[in-house]
Amino acid sequence: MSDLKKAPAVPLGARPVFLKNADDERLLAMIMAVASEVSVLYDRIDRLERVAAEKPSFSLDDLAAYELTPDARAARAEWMQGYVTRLLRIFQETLDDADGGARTAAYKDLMERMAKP
Amino acid sequence: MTSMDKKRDSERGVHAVMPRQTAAEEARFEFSKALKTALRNDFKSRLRARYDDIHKPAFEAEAGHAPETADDVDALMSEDTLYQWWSALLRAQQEGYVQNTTLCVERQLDELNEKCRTIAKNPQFGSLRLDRSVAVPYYQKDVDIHCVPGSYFFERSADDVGQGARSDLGAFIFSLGRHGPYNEDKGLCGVKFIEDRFPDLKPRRILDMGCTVGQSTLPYVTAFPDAEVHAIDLAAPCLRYGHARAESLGKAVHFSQANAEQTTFPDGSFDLVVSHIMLHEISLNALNNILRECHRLLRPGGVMLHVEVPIRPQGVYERFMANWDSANNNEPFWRTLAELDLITAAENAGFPREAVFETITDTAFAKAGGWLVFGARKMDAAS
Repeated sequence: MSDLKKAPAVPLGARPVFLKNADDERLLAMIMAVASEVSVLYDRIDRLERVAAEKPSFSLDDLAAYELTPDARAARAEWMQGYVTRLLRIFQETLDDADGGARTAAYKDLMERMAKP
Repeated sequence: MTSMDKKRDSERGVHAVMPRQTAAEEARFEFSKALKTALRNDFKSRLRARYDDIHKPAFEAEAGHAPETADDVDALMSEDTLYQWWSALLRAQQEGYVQNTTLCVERQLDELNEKCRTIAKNPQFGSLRLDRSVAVPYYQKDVDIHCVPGSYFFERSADDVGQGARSDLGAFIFSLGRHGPYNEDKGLCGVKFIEDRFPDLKPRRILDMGCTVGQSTLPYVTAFPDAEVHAIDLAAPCLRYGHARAESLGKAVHFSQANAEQTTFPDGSFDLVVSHIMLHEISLNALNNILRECHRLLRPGGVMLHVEVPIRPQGVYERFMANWDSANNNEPFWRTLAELDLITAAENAGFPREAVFETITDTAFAKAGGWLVFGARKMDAAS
């Protein structure tokens, strides 16, 4: 852009904080920005590998102009879905006491049963 | 446009002023869509399970009855760790998508501005009329809807189209591509509703209020080729971009800058007045003013149609969830509109009560929940 006024970086309106403190919220936003950039790196490596597999030597322009086949797009979509699932894996777990401690109690009970002769 | 650009545009509609995506930008958008899909589907369904299995029974045991209001559910879920993380992730996703679409547009803004300027100098089909005296009302000025910094209005230069271009690009990603390649689902559904319900209506003049970049306007041009189609909005960047977009798609639309609460069109000058997801972005006073303005602008026998998000959730949990965007994504009027008696509001604006309708229509593509359609027919002079 040339000689343009800079747009505001932050929207008008309250910014809600959902986690127990604002620093966790900041850290989460940064981690998700990094996660987004990982998908950019994946695109570059995938593109590089696919072009390299087709041409013994190639230029940067070849890389930028490379057209993904429908199969390649489908493979990427599958990778992306798996990537996001792995990223959010921790939320499959119950880390709080929302179940009234039932899971912890069951494990303790299991340990006790296993220790019995 | 290179063949690579064409390939990348294969899923979304192509037109001459659409922002192009680099491979890196496309990767960020694909991540944003995949994250949103995961949060809106699997993650969200597990929140519901926690409510049903843990929080609702606990509330019932203590209160002796089920939660009765969305606020009851809010009080329960706001303390739920998984809900807190889901909300934080969803907000981070929204902010990331807004930033990345903005950066994509800003990277090529000089070129986009120039393209739109060139088209505006020699329009082939419609027209563009901007009016600097149109003031932005507080309900748009004091909040950046959807958490987009600068909202629809910010201008980086005299002929800036940036916020319009971002809106066009962003809408496709925000809706996960489920509203059609040109994000035209709302317009198509409005057209189909009109054709089904009012087969005798052959509109010669149509007005689209709050048109943004005209995504919903264009289906009316296609469906009613003999009609003169006008579109108004408050935001100059959106109107400039929308005009260039419509011209590049060969559609005749007359865009002008105006407040839908009070336009300068003469009484009875339209056969059909429509809007699309505008009502939830205004205020109660504005809504009543707009309904009165629709009544004034329609000729006797003309039809008013507002296509909206399906804002009438049934149960208290669904109402609580529907309020998320109102509280957390800068949609401050959504919650009020969801509870509003629109039938009476239209009656108060001059429409006969028996001529007012509110129902749900099917999506033309893959939007979940369809669209709410609300409107009325102005009494014919003969009836």
